[in-house]
Amino acid sequence: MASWCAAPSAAVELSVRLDRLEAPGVVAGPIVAQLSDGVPATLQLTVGEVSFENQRWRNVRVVCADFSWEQGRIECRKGEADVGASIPLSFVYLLVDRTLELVLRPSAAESWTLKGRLDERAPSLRLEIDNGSLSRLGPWLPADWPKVTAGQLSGVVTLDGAGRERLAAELTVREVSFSDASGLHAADKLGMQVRLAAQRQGASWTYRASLDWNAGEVYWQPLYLQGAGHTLSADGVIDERQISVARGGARLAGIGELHGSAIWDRHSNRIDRADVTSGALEASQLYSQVMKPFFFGTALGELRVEGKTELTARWRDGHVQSLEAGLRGLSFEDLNRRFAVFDANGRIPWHRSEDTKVELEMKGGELLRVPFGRVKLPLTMRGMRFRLGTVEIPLLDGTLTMRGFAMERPQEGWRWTFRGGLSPISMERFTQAVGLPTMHGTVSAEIPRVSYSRSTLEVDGALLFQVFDGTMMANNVKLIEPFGKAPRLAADIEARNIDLGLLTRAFSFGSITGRIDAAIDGLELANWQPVKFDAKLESSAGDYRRKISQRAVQNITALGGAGAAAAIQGTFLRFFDQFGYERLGLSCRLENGVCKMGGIDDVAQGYVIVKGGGIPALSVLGYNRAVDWNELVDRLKRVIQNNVRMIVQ
Amino acid sequence: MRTAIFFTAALAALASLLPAPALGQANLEINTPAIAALQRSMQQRHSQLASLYNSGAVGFTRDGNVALRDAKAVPLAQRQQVNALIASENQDRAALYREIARANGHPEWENDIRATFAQRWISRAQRGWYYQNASGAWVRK
Repeated sequence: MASWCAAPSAAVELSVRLDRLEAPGVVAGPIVAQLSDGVPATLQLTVGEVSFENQRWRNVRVVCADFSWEQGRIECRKGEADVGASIPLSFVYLLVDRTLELVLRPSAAESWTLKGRLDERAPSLRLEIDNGSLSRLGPWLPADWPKVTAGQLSGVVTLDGAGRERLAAELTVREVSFSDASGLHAADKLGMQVRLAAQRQGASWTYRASLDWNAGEVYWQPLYLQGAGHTLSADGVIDERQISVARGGARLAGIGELHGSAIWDRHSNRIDRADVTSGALEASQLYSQVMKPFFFGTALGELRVEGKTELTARWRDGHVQSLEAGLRGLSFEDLNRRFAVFDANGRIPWHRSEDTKVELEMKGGELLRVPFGRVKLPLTMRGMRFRLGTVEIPLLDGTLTMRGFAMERPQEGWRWTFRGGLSPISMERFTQAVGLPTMHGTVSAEIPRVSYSRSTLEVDGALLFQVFDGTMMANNVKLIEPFGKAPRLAADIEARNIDLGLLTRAFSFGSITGRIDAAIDGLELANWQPVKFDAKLESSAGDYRRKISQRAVQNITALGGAGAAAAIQGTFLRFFDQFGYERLGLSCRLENGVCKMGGIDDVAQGYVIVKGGGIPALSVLGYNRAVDWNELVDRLKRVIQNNVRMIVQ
Repeated sequence: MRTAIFFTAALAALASLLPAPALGQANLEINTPAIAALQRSMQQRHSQLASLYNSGAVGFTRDGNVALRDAKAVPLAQRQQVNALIASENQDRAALYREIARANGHPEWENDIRATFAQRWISRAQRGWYYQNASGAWVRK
């Protein structure tokens, strides 16, 4: 309802009141317009409340200090709108043409110009924005979106036609910063160009859009990306039910290109279906920029990656239904040197509910510093279940055979199992590979069922090694968190007929000829260092040559520390290079950092380590019953180092 | 048992500050090579974390970990590295609690050791650093 009245003053005044104005999306009222016919004329417009979409403004005032209405031309040359903040404006409206030009100048460098023909048959609107402040858009954005704190917008948006409207936009944003309250979704100094063309057909819009991101940085937890020329493009249809991307493309600078299609369900707010195919992607950048942050704190968190990969993914009903990775010369290496794979090539097709077969070959790799050679993996997969046929992995100069490997991932995490064997490998190469003093001979092994679950690797039965010309058996082997920060190994070890010559040669300790049996019960290593064990070693039974060199005797004595007896010095025995012995043995029960030591026999105040026999014969006695383990290890290192130095001299 | 654990945990924490305890002391095993390696790794990381504690970006949780409290205190470009740093620190801490429990011959003490350490980290925190109280709210010390 509108009412008219003339005010009882000298100047002619005209007042118009409109209780309620409704247009699509807009409700306003009451609107009161007051025109005062001075020189120049002024217009004052007040609106009790305006609502547009979900926005609401109260007591909106537009005052025009220089207003004219002549020959069908309504013009406001010096106006100001008060919508909480005061914004200078001007407008011209031509009644016959029904054209409007409205200019808002919120600040000196900023203008928003709306030009339009409000003709019902052929309406058209054009919004020109020059340095528009993006923080002004804050109230228009959903409340749960990050808050825009800075940035400028320039460009043109046009809307034409009736019934089949055409929308076009070409916009540039600069220096955009936004952040949510937590700071986990934030951007700084973003620069982008956005192009959009859309046309309405009934209740749906057909669109084509592209975005070039060329400056600034975004942190969207856990991803951090810089605008280094990434581009996105899409075309499709938007309607009430869904947003579809018929053809989408992304070019990620440094990584590669992705193409695909997708349907976003607007009711359930999720991806209904999507198909994405990539070109050849640079694996190193893909890992470091996209995948790495998802692996922080896991064994895959610190890798060096190179090579190329191609990905194809299919998404259905909110799940990844299938994923295929093609590998081209892909290598990855754990920076902590726990594992590595070199030059892998092939296809890894995975399907959520169907059997798939992997064709994959790698040139080699490394596991816990032990290198392995070319391997072809006959792997079959179905969902989270993986099966591997018999695989022969060249390991140094031997072969590790894995049989019946099966892996799956129930709720509590990955678990896998296999059995196998190791054909003889050279101890020399093995010890060099893992950084131990060079040892001689070979090692081979029978591997019973090995299983891994809940971060623990266990061996059911005995691991049998042939080493130093004897046999070694490891029982109750358990490795907790093999790829964790502090792996822990537990085992009971029994050795028979170990050739001491082969063993002692490794440590330039002096030579001992003979054979020993050893039992190490309750061995516990933490971070590959001994924490606890009960070890006994003693000459094996049987007939064999038993000789110990003078240097070995000296070194055994030196290990005993200052209090140990050095029977050689000052006696005629120092003229002999080696001595015969009848038996030797040593025990150490390590607990709480202390090694409680013993020998083959007890004597007054001590124990016998080497019992002499033959000519010349020599016995070595130990007196310290409790030795600090770290000190013992230090002494051993010193002995070995000193000897090395002696050899150099 | 709580008291015993507190005592051992306290010793373990001290082990990083004191020279190796003299031979024969009951809790020498607390300083195992694995624990020493973890403590070294944590000490190396500490200088980076200390500035994050100072700025309030990172705080101590009530379960003996560290967590991102205020990402906005960290420049945008570094927020991802801070996340990595927190993940590594928590990985070390989990391993440390487990190792101390195992070194004591009682793997089942792990959770109690973690709880005791949570209190220790908070009590040893400097003024101005943040920690989570019993209800999980961040409190400035």
